[in-house]
Amino acid sequence: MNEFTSALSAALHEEAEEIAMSADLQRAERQLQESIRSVDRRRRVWVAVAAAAAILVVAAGITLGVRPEAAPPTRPVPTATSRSPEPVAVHADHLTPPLTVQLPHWVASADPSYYANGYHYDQRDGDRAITLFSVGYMFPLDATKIAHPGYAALVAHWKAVQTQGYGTVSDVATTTVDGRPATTMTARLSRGADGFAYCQSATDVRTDPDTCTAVYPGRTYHLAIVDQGPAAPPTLVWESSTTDFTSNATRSRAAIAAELATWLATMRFH
Amino acid sequence: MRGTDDQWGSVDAPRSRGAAVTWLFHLHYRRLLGLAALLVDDRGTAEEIVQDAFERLYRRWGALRSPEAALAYLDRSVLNGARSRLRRRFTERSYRLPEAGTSPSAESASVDRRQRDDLVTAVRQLPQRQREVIVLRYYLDLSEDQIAGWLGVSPGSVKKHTSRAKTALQKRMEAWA
Repeated sequence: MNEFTSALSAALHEEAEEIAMSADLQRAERQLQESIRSVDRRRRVWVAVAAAAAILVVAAGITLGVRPEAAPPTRPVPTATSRSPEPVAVHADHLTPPLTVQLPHWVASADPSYYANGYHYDQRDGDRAITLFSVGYMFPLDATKIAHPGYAALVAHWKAVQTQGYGTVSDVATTTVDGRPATTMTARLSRGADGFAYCQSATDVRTDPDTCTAVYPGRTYHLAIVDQGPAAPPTLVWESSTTDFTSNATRSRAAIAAELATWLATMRFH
Repeated sequence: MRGTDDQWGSVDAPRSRGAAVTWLFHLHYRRLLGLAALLVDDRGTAEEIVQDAFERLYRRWGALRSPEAALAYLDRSVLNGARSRLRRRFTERSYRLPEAGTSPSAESASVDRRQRDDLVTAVRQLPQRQREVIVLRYYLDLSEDQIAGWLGVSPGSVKKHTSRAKTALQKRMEAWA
């Protein structure tokens, strides 16, 4: 750094510090807490409305003699069984194609995040997470341009986690999910990659977490990629955890893989 | 400057979403306000941008897996918020930059202080993209590759904007000298 850029750096830091030190932190924190309360209120209202809608849909289906499986998909909120240790029925109608799946009971109390084409459930008091995506776009490892992968390409991109030095890939197997070709594997990440999991559209910036989703070092992804044919993007689902790095790693891996296999078997596309 | 790995891993690190966001707020609000203020021109807008960034962090908390991700999210939210507001401002009215030699700091008592203020004023007068790369490079200390990733442009483009910005700043400083 030469004299000019040193002066420039110092000037920016001093200017920022001067502004920062004159901030009214208490007032700003009050505003933040009000924002948090407002977000929570909106979330509670939304959950209540969506749950009521789900109940109405089921009730209407029963009244009309329609099998519940044929009911239109609704937002993926926990249903009336969500507080029990029973699986949680999720109707993922943001995906292409939409799907229903019975996720583990802990999803009922998870912190959810919703994307244009995906869902993410973060275990509240643990380190597991479940994610469901229709992967229309993503950034392959080390790529500068966004990709629009088909099934085979997406499988290859995930296998590249190992060949490109981002971690290890194991337990690769081909199978079917609701009768559709699928590949399962376990990817243990030692390096993170912005935008690798999913992006919303062709113009997204890989580092914008509102539209693109990263994979993170220190996490193990037990995943399945499902072929939806040439007319729809492949479906990517995973259950991830950090517990592979603890002393009970082997047991944890097996437990999570078993949990994934259980809910994967309940997946139905519409 | 941004690293809080030790703080995050400490026994005091909160586990609930609200507590964690509030905790990060205490640690990083001032720094982010400084960043926002370098990217936009008025204090009130900078405060709004930072508030929005923390609210978005709260809403997106479940999708972020690490302290690095949360901090990077905040930085990028502030950058995106500033860009969005500047776009709006340019749409609403023609934005007039002060002419060279009319630096508001011209009467500053201290020579060092005057030079600093002149430099900051000159940064504020740069075209938006040049201003962004200068702030990201010399305030956040990001590499050209990182800036390229944040702005969604090529590293070559970052290099070009940085070079043009530095040339413009040096000329402006010479004109004010």
